[in-house]
Amino acid sequence: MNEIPDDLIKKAASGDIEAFEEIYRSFSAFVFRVVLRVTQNTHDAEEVTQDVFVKVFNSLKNFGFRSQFKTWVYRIAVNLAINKYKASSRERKRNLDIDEVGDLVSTQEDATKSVERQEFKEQADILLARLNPEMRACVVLREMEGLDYKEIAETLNIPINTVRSRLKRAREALMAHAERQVVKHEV
Amino acid sequence: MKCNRVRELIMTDYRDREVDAGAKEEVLAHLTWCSECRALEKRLNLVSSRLRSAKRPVPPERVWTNIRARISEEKPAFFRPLISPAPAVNVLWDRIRSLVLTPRFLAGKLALAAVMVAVVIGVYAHIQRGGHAALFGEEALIMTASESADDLNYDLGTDVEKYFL
Repeated sequence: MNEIPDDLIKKAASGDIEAFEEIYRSFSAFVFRVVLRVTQNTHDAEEVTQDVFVKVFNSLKNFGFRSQFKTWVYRIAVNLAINKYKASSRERKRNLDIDEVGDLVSTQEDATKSVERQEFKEQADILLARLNPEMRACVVLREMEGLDYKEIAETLNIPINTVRSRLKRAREALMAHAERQVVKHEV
Repeated sequence: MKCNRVRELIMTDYRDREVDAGAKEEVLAHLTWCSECRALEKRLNLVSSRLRSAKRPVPPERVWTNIRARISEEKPAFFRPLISPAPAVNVLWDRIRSLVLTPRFLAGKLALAAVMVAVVIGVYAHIQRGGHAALFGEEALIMTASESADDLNYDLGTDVEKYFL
């Protein structure tokens, strides 16, 4: 993805919606894909993508041109996606606790539905679901979006060695899960 | 290169094209004779291909529609001129706006603002001196002293205060 011209950023920062739409068109697909993979939910991904670009628009006047614009946008996207995933997980856990007390009969039915949902889910999402959101973001940026270690480190605001160790641990976990799935199918 | 090092690189830098040419050659040479490390690379390739074969969705158009609506709602007042300016004025307005809003030359802008504030304070102080010159000097000291003396006449109503006063 090419870097956005400074003039376009300045125009958008002064409130020019057309200039901002051009920025949105350049980044929206990347932002949406990353957010979708991290949140694992289409509705949340749409909501977070909106939040990302509203935040970018409101913060444009503070953008100091010290870092790359795209890295700045990626960082906002990944941070909001991780926060959303954590908030949604807490919410789901609360609801699950309530359901466990109130509705024990439907457990078998829900389990069947869950398996059906899994079958329609993409292989990639099933694998990514095994990782915590920080590792997931790292894997998505490297494996699915092709960022190099330096870009990932800048986006996640972590040292390059942390990128390296997160990728290693994530890959070990993914390989272990893939092998368990193979054994399960064979049985 | 030993298996442990090769496996470390297969899981990270070698796979992600972050190794230099020398290390890459060493890993490749190791893989030609080590079947265990080759098997590890194959397993990793399998996982990686599953991730890379995922669909690449784009956001629906309603996402931009909603963003645009939210921006228009939240847009601060200083982005909107009160009346629609004529084209020549529009250019001037844009220049002033970008000059004030962009973070460039921030130090210069702050220095200019500080000078303006200092000038306003100076003018204000000058006017004050002209009107109440008597307050600066001996009379002011006498006035302050007498005000302080008046304070001593207050009865604060506690034993401790009576003792000291």
